[in-house]
Amino acid sequence: MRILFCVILTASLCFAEGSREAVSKILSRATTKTLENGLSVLVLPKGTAPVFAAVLTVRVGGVDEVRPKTGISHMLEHMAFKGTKTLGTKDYEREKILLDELEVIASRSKAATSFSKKDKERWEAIHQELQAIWVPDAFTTVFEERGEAGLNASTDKEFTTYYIKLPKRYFEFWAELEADRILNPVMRQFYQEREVVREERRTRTDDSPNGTLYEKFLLEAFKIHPYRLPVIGFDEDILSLTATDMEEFHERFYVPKNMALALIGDVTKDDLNIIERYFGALPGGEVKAEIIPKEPLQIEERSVVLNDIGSPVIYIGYKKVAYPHPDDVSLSLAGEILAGSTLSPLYQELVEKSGIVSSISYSEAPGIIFPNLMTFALTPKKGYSNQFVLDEFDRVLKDVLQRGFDEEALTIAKRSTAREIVNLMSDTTGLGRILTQSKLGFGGWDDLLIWLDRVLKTEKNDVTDAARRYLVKSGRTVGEIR
Amino acid sequence: MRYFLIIFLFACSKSFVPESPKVIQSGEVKVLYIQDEENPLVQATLYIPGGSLWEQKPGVTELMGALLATGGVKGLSPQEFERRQKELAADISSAFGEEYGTISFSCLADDFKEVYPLFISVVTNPTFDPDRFELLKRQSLDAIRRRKDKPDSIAKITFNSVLYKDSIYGRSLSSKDLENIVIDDLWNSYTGLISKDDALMVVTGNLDTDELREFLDQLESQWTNVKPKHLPIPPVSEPKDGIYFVQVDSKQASVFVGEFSLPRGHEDRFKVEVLNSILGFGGFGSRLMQSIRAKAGLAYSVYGGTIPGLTVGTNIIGFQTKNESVGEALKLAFMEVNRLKSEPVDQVELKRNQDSLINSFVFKFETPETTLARKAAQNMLRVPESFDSMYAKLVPQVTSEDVLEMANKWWSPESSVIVVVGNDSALSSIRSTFPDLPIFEGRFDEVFYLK
Repeated sequence: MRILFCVILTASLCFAEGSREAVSKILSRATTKTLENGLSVLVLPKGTAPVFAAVLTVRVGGVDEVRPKTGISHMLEHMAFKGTKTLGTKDYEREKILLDELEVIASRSKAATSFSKKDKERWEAIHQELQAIWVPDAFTTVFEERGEAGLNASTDKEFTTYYIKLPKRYFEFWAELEADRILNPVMRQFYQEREVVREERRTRTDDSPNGTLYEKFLLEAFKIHPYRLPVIGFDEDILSLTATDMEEFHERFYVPKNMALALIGDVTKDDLNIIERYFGALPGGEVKAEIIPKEPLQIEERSVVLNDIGSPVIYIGYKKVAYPHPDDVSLSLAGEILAGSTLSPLYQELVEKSGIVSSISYSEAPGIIFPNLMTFALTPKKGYSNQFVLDEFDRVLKDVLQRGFDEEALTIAKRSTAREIVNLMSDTTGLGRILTQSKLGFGGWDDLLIWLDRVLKTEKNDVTDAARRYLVKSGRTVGEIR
Repeated sequence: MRYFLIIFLFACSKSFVPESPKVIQSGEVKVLYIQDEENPLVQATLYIPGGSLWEQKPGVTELMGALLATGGVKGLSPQEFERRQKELAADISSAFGEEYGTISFSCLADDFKEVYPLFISVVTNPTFDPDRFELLKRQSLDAIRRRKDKPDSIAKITFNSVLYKDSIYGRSLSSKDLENIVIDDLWNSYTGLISKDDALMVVTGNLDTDELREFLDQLESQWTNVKPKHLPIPPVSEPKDGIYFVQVDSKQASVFVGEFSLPRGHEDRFKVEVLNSILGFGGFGSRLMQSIRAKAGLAYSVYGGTIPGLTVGTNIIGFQTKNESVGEALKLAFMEVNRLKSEPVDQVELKRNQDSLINSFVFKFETPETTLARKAAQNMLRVPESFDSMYAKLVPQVTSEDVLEMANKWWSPESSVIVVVGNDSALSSIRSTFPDLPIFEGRFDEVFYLK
């Protein structure tokens, strides 16, 4: 059947089919299971080295936050590395008493930012005692000495994801500790870590012109939906967080049915028994989320301009639907055709021929679950004003959309997209991230393949039609550094 | 019980032997091949010794490396070449760094026979299209303009220029360097560098050896421009110690501390690996991370250790912190180095770091691609073949006395190059913390030795 299918299609599409088959063959080795408490688990044997990658994703992120507590998901991600009731402390009982007392002081000192003299002295005395009880970074060092690679985590608009790769012989050791830190993280060293996160914000946002622009750009593009809020949090919000906030937030979102776990590498379905033993013990429960408001339809172009903070940059973001809306794949292909390679018309016209920008790229962001943006990023060259560059961008886009996309460009875009998915197969943590996020975001472990199938079936008229409907000025926000 | 456990683990760690590559050679180019039935892609990389350390005109090697696979080939314009690649969903790329270059391709195994002729053309018949050359130059000029946008990139460039002064190591390109390059420079670079001398190819994927031989034969027969290569060791100039301050309007200061250290082939290499792990290359558990990040909350990113180089290595400590904390964070960093110089590391910490190095070693052989890329890079950098077995043998033998000795032998951060990029508060913070150290002030666009 598959062979016949391939013969009927053009030779060119056979390539994409070949990629699809290759991806499907790898993913077909996976075993999946939902534990009784609701945790989704995937086990995918891959490679020959005696190592495995574990990726645990929680469906919590920026969209679950409200002011003045932005940045709380990311802060909690940091705190998940501070250990448990048994790891990271020499005396948990005493530590608990001291941590509780810190919270009493924090509650009357504007989250430990404005102390009375007496509180300040007590705060420091408690910390002095805690320094003697704490075993700093015990959680990370036990994995480091076992040879971890890539122990890390990331937080975005919708997901908090924890990564590690370890030699297989430490599989059970990892499972026990991972389950424990997800269930029982201790908010130790919280007020030091809050300063670490503020330093992170200074690097990523405040001292980065592009980071600053992106923060302002999203605030303008989304008026109500929490996609507008920075994942790292506003500085004043980060400073308002307390360890108590962390515990409450953890309880609301870190429940097994809100999590997915992917194990890739030297693993078999028998390893599910170990997962069951440790992760099955986590109590079930319901997520207590905020209602996420719907973004109203945008009816006119918006703009945000920052002057003299760095070299010129232009972001042009068009509102669009998200997967599984049928227009989503058409728009992904439109983006790939328009700006995905050196053959793309926007690249050809603006970079190669007129040379008014040095680079152009596109992205679909800032999240994947809710209607988002297709954003084109342009870096104007010296001597060309942003307005001139923007006018040229509009002229080229208008020309291309008026003509409509051709079959050849679509075929190439499909192949490039399929090829990207093939590339993903060799990156075990990257693959684990995509699989767990699609499970939590869309409900299925196989959404990656469903999405790829849709890409391969999309016709050129769908792509042209979707691009004409969504890539319109009234639905866009332009962000600029001038 | 513990004894048995150790034996058992040892046995386990010994049981994995990464697959040895097959060596295939018909002419001068040696190919290392690992068959990977699971991988739908064929990936091939040609490694070529030589790089910007030996260039006469700054920037030429990097530009040549970038344009090789993007500047078209005989019979195909750059655009036609890229279209052909895209039609085959193949990636063909090239790049040259300081000591070696790579030219690579990847594609689905079924398309191998159609893609490798394109790759061979890149190696043997590039055209360096003049329009693409101009485009690449303009893009590079724009990138130079943009590197002043972030304090950390200013700090890195300043650090390289003051540490390596007027020698070729760590050189950052200026706009003037770029404007001086003409297309003939690229041709000269190409004929001088892209030769079969000591070239090495690595291939993974699901191919049979005959297909691979056919490819290799064609490459050998078309690649004729052999010219003997001379790669003498370039000299180094001694840096002038002190604090180099560059004023920018930022919320955070970027800091680098550096001095010369051991070269790549030095016998202290394995002892220094352990020292690195303890000091600041060992992740969250390392001392710099513990002291400056976890305990003091002064930085998000902080690291430090020795990076061995061709003739000299570099000791580096790097972090970013709010301007007013620069002095405090630097003091903590120095304290950690000085602690390593004055107190032997306790056995628990020493063992933990040795275990970490030995246990994570397996990830260097996680896939056939990582195994081969490592082997090829070692070959290019003239790392002896015995390195891996020596590593496994010698790292566990390092003692706390060795670490103490290494710290004293190689580290003296207070008399080294310290680069701080930040605002007035950063400057007053270092002035008050280090009243005795000389401070040289400069602006980025006329920064110290960078012309």
